[in-house]
Amino acid sequence: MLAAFLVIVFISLLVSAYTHYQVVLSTAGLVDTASSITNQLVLNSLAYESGGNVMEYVIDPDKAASLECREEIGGENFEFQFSIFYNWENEMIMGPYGPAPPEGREISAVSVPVVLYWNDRFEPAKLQVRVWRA
Amino acid sequence: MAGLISRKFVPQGQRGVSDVLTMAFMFLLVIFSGVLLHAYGLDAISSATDRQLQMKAEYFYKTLELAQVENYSLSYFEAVAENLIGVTKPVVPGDNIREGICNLLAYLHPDGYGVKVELNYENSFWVQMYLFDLPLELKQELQQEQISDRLRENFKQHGYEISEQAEIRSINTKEWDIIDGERTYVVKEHNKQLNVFFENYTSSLGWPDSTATQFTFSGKVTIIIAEASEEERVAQIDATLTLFRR
Repeated sequence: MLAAFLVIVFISLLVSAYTHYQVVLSTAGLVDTASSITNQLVLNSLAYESGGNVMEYVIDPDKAASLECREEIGGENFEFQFSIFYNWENEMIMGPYGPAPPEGREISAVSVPVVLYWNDRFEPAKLQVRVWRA
Repeated sequence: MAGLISRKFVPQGQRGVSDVLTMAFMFLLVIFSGVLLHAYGLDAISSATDRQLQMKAEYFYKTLELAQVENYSLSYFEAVAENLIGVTKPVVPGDNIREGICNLLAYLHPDGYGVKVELNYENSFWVQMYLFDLPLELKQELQQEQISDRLRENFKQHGYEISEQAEIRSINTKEWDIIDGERTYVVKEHNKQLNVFFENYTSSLGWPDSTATQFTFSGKVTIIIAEASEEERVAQIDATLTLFRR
């Protein structure tokens, strides 16, 4: 009787651990996707272009409004929203750009230092990206 | 069958004890395996977070390399390089660039992480570190130039010990030095926070020590020096940015 009870407990633990493992993998995947989308934005989609040269790590805010905030990565669809924070003394915000994150969904947020091309100058800034599964 | 045979020869009292022990062992085994099964794969999240922090270290470095110092055309690293090499008239004076980097480190640092910027040229070093934030309530103690237990405890929580001999010196209404032997911590009030920094211009530091979690990005800063007294020359300065948590 007790042995049967322990077997049932063990099987329940196995099922629970498997579910937990799937959640962990899903979360880790979302964190990696947030990094990947941030890289894509900073090095490519939002990168400032000067004389035909792409300046990686420098963000052109003029590109922000027209950007489609949806990516397919590894066969999964993701949506994202981003904001640019600048002027450390009296912080200003550009954005948010993209759709609002849905409630109750797992979201990964990342904030990275970037350079903002603003008023003909290269200003230090922060880019915050929030990513979720579409 | 074996159980039946063994039970036949085991007295009633002893059989009870061995059954309880077996049950307890099986119960512990189930709990232990449950913990193990749930812990499996947890490092996938910390690995993903570590990869993200390495990316942040790279972006931080690139920001200091490319962003221009306020009111000047040089980047932060170029401005430090000029001062480090010791050109006669640097475009950005040393005090301005120190202040600028302090502000930037406090503004851009990832939550819960300190930042160290180190540049070196031959035997000259330029090291600036953002360490952590103190609660604004400690401002009064800094103004009174008294190292209280609360201040000492706050430093300890972040992994820094302040000795009994340490003393506070007010620089202005928003900046204080905490002098502890050869170490001087700089505390600056900004944006309703007290940011704690460490600066050193004579040697490389042992900080952060090997026990701290670290994410580093290194490169070289190249500048062309054109002074009236000599021909143009190119200088390369080693630069490293480290994110750390003690």
